[in-house]
Amino acid sequence: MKNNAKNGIIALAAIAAGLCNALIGAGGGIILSFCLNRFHSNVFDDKRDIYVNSQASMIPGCALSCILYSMKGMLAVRGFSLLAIPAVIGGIAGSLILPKIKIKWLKTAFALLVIWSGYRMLTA
Amino acid sequence: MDDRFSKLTGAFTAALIALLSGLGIGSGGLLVIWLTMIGGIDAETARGLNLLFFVFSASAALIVHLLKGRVRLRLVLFLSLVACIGTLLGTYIGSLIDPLLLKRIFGGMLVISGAYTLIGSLKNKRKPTEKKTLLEK
Repeated sequence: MKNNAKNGIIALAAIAAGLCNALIGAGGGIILSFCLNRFHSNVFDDKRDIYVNSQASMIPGCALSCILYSMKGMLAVRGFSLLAIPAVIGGIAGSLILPKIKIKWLKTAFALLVIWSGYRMLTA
Repeated sequence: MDDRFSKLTGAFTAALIALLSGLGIGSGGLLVIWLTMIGGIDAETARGLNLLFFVFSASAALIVHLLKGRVRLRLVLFLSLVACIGTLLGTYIGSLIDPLLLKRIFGGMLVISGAYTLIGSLKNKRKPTEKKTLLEK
């Protein structure tokens, strides 16, 4: 496949990821990781970086979703105080142990999580 | 005592979910399930908290990834911008279409793509053995 076509697919995937986050509140990073893995994996020397970069790409979109949610009065910041510190600690811990995890395990865990998320969306 | 225990369990679960974010594989909305089923929070509020939680955990992980040179800034900036457009579009579409229908469509897509990735990763496990056999020949 030509590079322009691949870039187009990645851009569409990013739009779909944003759509998914706005509509469902989760799953955007999964779409982006899947498409980067499928169409742009040759760009990354370490395949783990695919997940890192797709995750990083979702931060501004999620922050925007948070702003939009709070504008609608749907963001309960008060309940978040208990989650904020574990979120930061867990995030840092995950990023530190990432280089020690084999890519095939990361891929398998990712695939299982994707199936689980999809199943949840179909049945919830 | 019970309240303190449930808070501790909650913080521990949240840290484990954030660990998945730090690994880059996301949480797949696990926090939403935990907040609704264990925390007794309604789905709409849980969805908002899940997004905020992701912003915190992924941003913390991003600092480490940036320091280790794992982030391709140009790609991330491009994808972030396009994803933001998608977010705005999603907010608009959400007011026009039944979100449940979209949820089902996305869910079906995720199950198919997940199964595809899983099969691919299982196949990759066999590859080194196949290569070894060929080299040995």
